[in-house]
Amino acid sequence: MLIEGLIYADETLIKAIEKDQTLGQVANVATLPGMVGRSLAMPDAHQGYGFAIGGVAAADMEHGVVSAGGVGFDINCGVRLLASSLHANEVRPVIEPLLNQLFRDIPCGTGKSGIVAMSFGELDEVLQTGARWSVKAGYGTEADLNFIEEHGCLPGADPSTVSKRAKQRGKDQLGTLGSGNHFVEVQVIDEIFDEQAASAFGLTAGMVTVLIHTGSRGLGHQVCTDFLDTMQSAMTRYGIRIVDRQLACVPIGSPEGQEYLSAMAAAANFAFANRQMITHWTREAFQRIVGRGDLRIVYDVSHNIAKVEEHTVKGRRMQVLVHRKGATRAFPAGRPEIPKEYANVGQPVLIPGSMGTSSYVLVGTEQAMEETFGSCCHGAGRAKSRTAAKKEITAEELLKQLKERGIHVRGASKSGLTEENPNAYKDVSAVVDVVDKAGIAKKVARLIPMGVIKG
Amino acid sequence: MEAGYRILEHPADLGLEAWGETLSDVFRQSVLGLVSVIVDPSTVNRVTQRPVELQASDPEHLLVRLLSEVLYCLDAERFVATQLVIDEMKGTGLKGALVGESLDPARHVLSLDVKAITYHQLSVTEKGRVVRAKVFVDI
Repeated sequence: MLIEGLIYADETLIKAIEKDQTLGQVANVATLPGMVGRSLAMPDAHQGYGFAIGGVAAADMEHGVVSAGGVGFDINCGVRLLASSLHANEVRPVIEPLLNQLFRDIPCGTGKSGIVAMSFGELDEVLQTGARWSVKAGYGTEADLNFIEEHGCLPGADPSTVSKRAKQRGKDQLGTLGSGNHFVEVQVIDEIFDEQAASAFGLTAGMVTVLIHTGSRGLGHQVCTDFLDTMQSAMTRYGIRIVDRQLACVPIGSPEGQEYLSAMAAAANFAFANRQMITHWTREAFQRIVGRGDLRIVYDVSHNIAKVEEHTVKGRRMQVLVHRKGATRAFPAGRPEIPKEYANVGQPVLIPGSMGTSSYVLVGTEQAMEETFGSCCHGAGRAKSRTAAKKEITAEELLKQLKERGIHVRGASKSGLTEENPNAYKDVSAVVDVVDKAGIAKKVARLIPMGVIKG
Repeated sequence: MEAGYRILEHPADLGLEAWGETLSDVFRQSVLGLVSVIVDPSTVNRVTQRPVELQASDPEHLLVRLLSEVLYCLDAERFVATQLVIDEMKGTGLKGALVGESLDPARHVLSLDVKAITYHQLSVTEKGRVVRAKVFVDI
């Protein structure tokens, strides 16, 4: 190991983390050339491939490496929170028709194509301009862009670095939710922990919100697949030796490294555009069913990404490439990257819970800048394999249990539902409490589900 | 030993182990194993051949490339393959065809979205007269 590893957890969570290969993976990442600070794992960490999910690691821009596996296959998988002007009492009576409408309007499920026909030329524009493309095409407004990480467009994207295969795979998938743990959830704010931050984010108890969780779909998966392959062979030319092939990496400044970062940015932009389109359809569904579609974007964060940022490492200001693999940026007040409306409190950090449990809004802190390259957790984190989760409960029983608790579900696949059964995940509240107590983000609000649509 | 495959547990994802007497057996079983977690193979008619020609640095790399090709076919070409026909096989290259048919949502129920094939704990080994491959996929 070239740098230290640091894991954030409590006594229960560390036991779960110790059960799988997470610790070894944190150590493996610490052996990559040019890593600085610490190799980190958040309390929701679990075994991934190469990097642990819930991992954060930063590489020196001059001597460090970029790893496609350190970002993951679902490039810019992320979460977006919308706040309505509605009280839960206004939505509860129509929650079922609202979910039906959302389920009809937002293409979701395995192998589902989008409803937007697109040429390769148009797709290049999406890759270049991200959520801006969606706004230009009529999905949302200019004001939306202000409340998205990087304004919905990661700089440096170059569509020519994205393979024809990746484009072919993604062309029909723009404006689709996908499957697995991706969802659109209608929620109510149940508890406010920090009045000042909540007020800056425009959140009040009883307010209806919508959380959107999806990423760059097949396009991002193929970009990662392509560059993992490229990096396997390029790596030996640069004399890099690694302990796990999934950690394949190349120097940041190498042609392959630069090309990957341009393609990754393009895939990230696809994801921003994707969440923007789903936002638009969500607004339309609210307009149609509840009569008020004025949902405002609170924020949109990426939790699978590598970003060039300036941080202080051992007292020295330096440019680093921060790999966040299942981890969320959590910048404090005063950072130029966050919307001016939030400048006095810090960046909203969005933590989706597992199906049927709570989600949280947190706010970034100065301590995160000091300890974690301005990062914190990204969710509950899986605790059980999908096969084990599926064996636990039938889809019918799960739906019944959730309904008894006032949570309605529309899902494209029954097996998808049982795999995402909340018992398969760690306790999101415990995860959030750890980051809150550690001070790398502070709790602002808790959100409780009313209904969810899943792929 | 009869060639076959089985699904391996992983906290977040799925693994696949395939075995047989030859590398070709193992590759054929891996294709079937991968597809079986996505769609019921008995619903897929083997009516169309889609040529496949791949080069790689070693057998493990070749397996990742082959299975990535299967996913690409499914996602981009909407072609579901359950069989691999091999015309030429070296540890660092193969020539042949994926056999299956175009996706028909009415008959093919896709139960899982496999995002990609990983290099995590990837192995192709030969012990005694049995060749074994292990590969994990991201879902």
